[in-house]
Amino acid sequence: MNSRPAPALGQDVALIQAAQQGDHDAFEELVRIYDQSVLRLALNLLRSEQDARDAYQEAFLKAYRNLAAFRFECSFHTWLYRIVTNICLDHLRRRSVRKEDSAVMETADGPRDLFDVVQDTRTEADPERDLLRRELGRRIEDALARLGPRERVVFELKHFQGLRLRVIGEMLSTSEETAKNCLYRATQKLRAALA
Amino acid sequence: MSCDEIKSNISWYLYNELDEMERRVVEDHVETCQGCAAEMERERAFLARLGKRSEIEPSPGLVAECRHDLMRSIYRADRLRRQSAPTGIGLGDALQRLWLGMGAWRRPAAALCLLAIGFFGGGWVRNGGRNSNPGDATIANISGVNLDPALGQVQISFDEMRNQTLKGRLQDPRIRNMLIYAARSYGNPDVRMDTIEILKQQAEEQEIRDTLLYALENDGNAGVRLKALEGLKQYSKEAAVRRALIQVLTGDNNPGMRVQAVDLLMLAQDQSLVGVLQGVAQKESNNYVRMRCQRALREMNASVESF
Repeated sequence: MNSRPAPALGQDVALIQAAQQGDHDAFEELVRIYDQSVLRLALNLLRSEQDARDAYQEAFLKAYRNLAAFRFECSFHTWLYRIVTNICLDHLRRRSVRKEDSAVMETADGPRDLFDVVQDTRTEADPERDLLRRELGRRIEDALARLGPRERVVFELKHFQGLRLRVIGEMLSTSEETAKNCLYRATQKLRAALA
Repeated sequence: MSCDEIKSNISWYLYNELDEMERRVVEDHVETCQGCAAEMERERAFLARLGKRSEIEPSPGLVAECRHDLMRSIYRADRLRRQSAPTGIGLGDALQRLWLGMGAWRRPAAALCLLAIGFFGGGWVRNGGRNSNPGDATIANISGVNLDPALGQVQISFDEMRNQTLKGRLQDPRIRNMLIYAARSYGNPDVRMDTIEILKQQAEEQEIRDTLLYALENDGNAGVRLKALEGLKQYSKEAAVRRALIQVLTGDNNPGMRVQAVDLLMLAQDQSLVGVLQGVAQKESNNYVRMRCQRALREMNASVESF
């Protein structure tokens, strides 16, 4: 579980206000501050580079178009995460209808399983241990893929992004209690799948 | 607190979702209860195990590419917006320039635009209660069209001296007229796309269907045309829709559009399509569309070639 603190609020406020006045450079600076975490969230939720790219574009374009409506009632980070989370949720819902396995990444050698691509970047001294770790990782991925879209999103935001359930509820326009129930269901399903 | 209550709180303790007092109760209990301490360790191990999923870290190259594409899209959209909407001039001048600058095919749409702005403008002066004079008004830009599914409300943001927001249900005539204006006449394809996305929810109404048909036949942006086509799918057996689909199949320069059109046309085995299908089967460059037409012709016991 890793929580990533948002950048200083004061810096955000000045940039947001400038961007709201039409300052392109200020908006680009906001993109620079947040885009890596937005892309990381989209990649880890969608497990597809192309879908994550699409979600990134859609989220920031939506943020750009609606920036004038941002009233500082929550942090910019929460507002932006709300946008990208809902876009990812839509992707997952569409995917659950299509039942597609999209954990595929385009590489110079052609399409490859995203999990294998990621694993290649790590150095492991013990091949057997590496194999077991891969196997476990794959089982976790399979189990996560079988969660409902909302359970998947809540679990990702809590377990891997370290957000509070209150914030997750806000992002998904639901209550903290509902987010809590969703997380509970997700962990129970994962427990059963990995038993 | 009983062991059962403590156990039900262990996950929330480890997820740091308990308040200070609840945390202390769990910690005090676990210190003296071996069963709950063991449960705590099992749960900790389980959550740690779930963390073994490999997290994907976006490469700097991927981040840079995405950022580059994004900024390019934004600059392109802004340029289009500036080109399509004159700023700093009176409403009358702006509309005159719009009118003179548009092709003949857009003029009926511009008439709608006048109607919409007149309708809306009046409403906004009344509702806003500000000392605005419609004669001094300036229309600069429609910056966003959104639907809040939870509330069933449409929100349109546009610039008039400063950004304004109009909220209301899709059935509200002011909202409807603004949406129809945006779908038919507004320069920014993103706005047209968002607008069509909203309008297609109301496609059972003839006026909205006409707007979707207009976009399908005339919009210069393939994404907007595709959205309009999606909105018309369930009406694909209507004569006007079929005529538009035939026009798409035979004249749209986007193969994706032609694929969608042929699939919809084929839902009804209509003998009057034979000539159209034969023409497309001979000239079509897209394999799927060509093969789909050939198959449909065979299913209708018609020759694949025209004689």
